[in-house]
Amino acid sequence: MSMFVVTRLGSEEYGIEIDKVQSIEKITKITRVPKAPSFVKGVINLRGEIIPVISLRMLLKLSEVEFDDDTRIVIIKNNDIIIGIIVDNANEVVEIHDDNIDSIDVNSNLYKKESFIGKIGKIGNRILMIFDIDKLTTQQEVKL
Amino acid sequence: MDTNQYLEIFLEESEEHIESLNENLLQLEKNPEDSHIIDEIFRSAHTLKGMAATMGFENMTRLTHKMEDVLQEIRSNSIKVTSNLMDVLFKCIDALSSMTGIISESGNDSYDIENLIELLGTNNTKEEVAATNIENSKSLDNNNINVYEKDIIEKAASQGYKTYSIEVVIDKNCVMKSARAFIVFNTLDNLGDIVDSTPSVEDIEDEKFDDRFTVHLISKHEKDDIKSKLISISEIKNINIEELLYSKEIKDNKRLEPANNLSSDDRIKHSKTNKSVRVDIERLDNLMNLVSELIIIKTRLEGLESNEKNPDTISTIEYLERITTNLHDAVMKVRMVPVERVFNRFPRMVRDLSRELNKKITLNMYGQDTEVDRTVIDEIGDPLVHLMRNSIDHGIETPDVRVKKGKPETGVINLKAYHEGNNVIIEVSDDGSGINFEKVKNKAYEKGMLSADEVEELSNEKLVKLLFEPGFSTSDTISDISGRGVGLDVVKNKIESLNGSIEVKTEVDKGTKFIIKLPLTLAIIQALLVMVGNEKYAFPLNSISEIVNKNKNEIHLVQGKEVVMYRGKVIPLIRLHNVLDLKLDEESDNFICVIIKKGDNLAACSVDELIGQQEIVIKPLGKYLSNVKIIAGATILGDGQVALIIDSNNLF
Repeated sequence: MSMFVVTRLGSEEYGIEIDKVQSIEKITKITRVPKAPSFVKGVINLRGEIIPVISLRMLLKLSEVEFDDDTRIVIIKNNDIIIGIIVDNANEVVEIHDDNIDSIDVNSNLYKKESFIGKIGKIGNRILMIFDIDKLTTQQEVKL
Repeated sequence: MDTNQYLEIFLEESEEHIESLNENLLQLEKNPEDSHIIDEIFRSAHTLKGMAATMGFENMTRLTHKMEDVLQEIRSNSIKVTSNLMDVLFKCIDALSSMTGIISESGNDSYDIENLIELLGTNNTKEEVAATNIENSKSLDNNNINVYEKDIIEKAASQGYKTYSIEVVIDKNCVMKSARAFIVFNTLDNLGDIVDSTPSVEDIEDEKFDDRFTVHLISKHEKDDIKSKLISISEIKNINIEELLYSKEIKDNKRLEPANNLSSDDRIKHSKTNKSVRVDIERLDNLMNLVSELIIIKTRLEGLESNEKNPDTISTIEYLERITTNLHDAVMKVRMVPVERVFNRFPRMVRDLSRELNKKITLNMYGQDTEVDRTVIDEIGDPLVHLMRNSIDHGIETPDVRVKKGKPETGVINLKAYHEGNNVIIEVSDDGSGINFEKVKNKAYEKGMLSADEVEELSNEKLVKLLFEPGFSTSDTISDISGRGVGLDVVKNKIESLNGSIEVKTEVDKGTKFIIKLPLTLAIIQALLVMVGNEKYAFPLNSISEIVNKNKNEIHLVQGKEVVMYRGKVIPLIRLHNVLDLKLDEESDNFICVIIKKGDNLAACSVDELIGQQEIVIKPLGKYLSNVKIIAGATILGDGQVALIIDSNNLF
């Protein structure tokens, strides 16, 4: 059994392994960082720590929406990298049996090679795309 | 016994002992007769042996044990300190240091020590002292009395006790020497107090002595009385008793003093510095973060203060400000470490390299106790090693060349550290050949960095700058020590990344001096806050040279690039709007320029508004954004907002 934080972008649902999630924050003032990639919205002050935040919508090349009361920043910690990702909302934690988690077929043209999805989880007839956290937090170095 | 929980302490303490071994061995090489140093070395080796044995590291135990044996022989004057012997001992220390490295990585001490054990065991590294010398070594024996024992002897003398140095010679055919010795000790115990013995009691018990040992005894009995009691023990061949006179002690003591590089005061100080509390670095960082938070909150409170007219509030806030300032200073001091931590590797390095290169070099170090923040210390080690290697390899000439130039055979390298304002200055200077500008010119031409004409026109200052270009090395031969062309540019980059600067002064055949300027701390800096568009940015104050007002008419174009005149110099104009990807609504006629400096280079940065000077806490942007070069970090302002810190070194 594994637990995931369910985040939503429009109608799509994405899962993040719960032990990588440090906290879930409401949207706060974001300071723009010049010369950073466009999907990096900037940095926030999280209780005295400076955390870069990225827009998941921009990273996944989805259209951007206005922030509202449901918008959340999910703070992810992977090894020594901490980032926040902006999602439309995040208010559910699910438990999925390992049998219901499939790894994705990298050769299938359904998933692009540079996609951040590592696995697919099934809960009844819901489909949860599970992030490959390593890819999500090291994208910068791969790209540049 | 589960020793894992002690492993960390073991490693830390081992490193300390290895460091002190290294240091003391260097001292010993200079003063081979100083028994205090030998004692100190012996103690370190002994402690290491004990610790290693407890932790179950057999190789380490064996090696230190063997070292102890050799040191014991030095201590008892049966072998002499030769440079070959020193080499072997240094190698042992290197091995010990490698072992601790291996232990910390893998948890075991698998390291091939057989070679060293053999070296330590062979006699050709040692120079046996003729047996007759022992007879004459009276005064040296006296030196074996340490300060504490001397104190006892002095006290005893004032109360009418006498101190004897008794040499006991046991029959060569004696089967159980230690048993005989035990009887001698028992007999002496009844006659008075044994202050110390050479070799040590432990070694005598283990039969680690030849056929004789010496003890110091405090007693009221007469010389002959003692002698007759001792000689009656069977298998004792001879007894030599000599009374040690109080006044003689003093004299010997004085004679010893000037030979030491360390005065006894220093030695006491030295042993005191070891009395400290070990604190995990993480805890210290945590404390530092909390203090930083406190400073932010305090600044915020000060902002609120203007709304409150209550004098009580004002005085309370003022008091709070004083306390936070003091607290901040105190925490900073805790994080400060003396540069000694970096410097103390150099005497050894100079010794080894000069032997390798057949050069004669004296290293003088000044201001080792100059304190710098830990964040800086951790970073300057490598650049300094580079500079030192440069001086040894390129700077100092071989003895015959030096003599030809009319200089003393032995070259001098000075390593200096001192405070200057909020900076620490580290100087590495040598009295070697200086930088050969002709060579630099040729090299620049050869490497295709410049054309022949360009090279000829270059001033010496510009040529010095070439040295810091990547891939530049003037050494004709590539040696192990330096000259792989990865030297000075790396040094420069490192120092600039620390917000520091490096300067070179050189004179042919007089020597070269590298001057490094570094900030005391990297965690908290004075900064100038400015507005660009509607965003706030911070400039580190030490990178700012001046702030000037400029008019639009003063902007000129040179090769399509905007420049302004500043104190008769043409300097580039950097429009922060462009650099920071901001849109400029409308250009006003007058604008503010922050003149920033990078070494000797200046540039003007246009900003919209000045907010003011403030103490800020630097927070890193994190690994994820490490590619953003023009931002050095971020800081949290009093109102909780984030302001980015501009890295002026990467602006131009």
